[in-house]
Amino acid sequence: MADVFKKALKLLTGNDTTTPKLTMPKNRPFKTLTERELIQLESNIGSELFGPIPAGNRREFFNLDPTTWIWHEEWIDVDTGKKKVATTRYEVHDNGILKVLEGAKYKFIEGEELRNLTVAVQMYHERVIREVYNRDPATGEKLS
Amino acid sequence: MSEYTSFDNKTDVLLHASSEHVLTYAEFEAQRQQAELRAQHETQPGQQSTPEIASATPLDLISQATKNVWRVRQAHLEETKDMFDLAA
Repeated sequence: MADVFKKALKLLTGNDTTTPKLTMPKNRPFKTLTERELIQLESNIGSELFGPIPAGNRREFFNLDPTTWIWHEEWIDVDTGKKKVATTRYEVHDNGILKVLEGAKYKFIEGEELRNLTVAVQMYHERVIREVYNRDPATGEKLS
Repeated sequence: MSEYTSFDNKTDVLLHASSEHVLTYAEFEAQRQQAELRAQHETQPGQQSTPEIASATPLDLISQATKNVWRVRQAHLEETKDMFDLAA
């Protein structure tokens, strides 16, 4: 399961931190973007929701499908100088939000963590639908 | 960041993000309340009001937003595919 998860994440986000981020096409608004490219655009916004990313770090936060959110963080450990990577999957189930960590660790989130994820998801919804898809998040109508 | 943190201890960062494009929690709440009022206003006479919005649980909110983002993305893919086909 972990390998499949890593492979999916790599396909979506790549593994090269020097790769320039995608930006919204301005001169060609009808340029066809793949789903992967759209998710990368969304993740550009998702990664901003938590404030500035420290130099050398990398963060991705995006919606993968109708039931899954991905949080991915890379940073340099100040004590060892080694790169660390953590990926968390949040699954939306009928009975709660299941947090899945690497190493087959599962937990339904609650309390402050659930509240914070709720705010993050709603902010993502608000900004992504406006800024990536140019639609009103409340009505779904196109913005002029 | 010296160690991995998750949503359980990112409250300050989340709610006080510095980018001018990032909604503050107060702005987010204001928008949510506006949407709620709009939905109540748009409810037709005789129709049941929208208590589900006011009483929505975090799970409801996440579930709805998750499906909505995915739906809009799929619609965009279909729409741009159609445009590409027409232009070809």
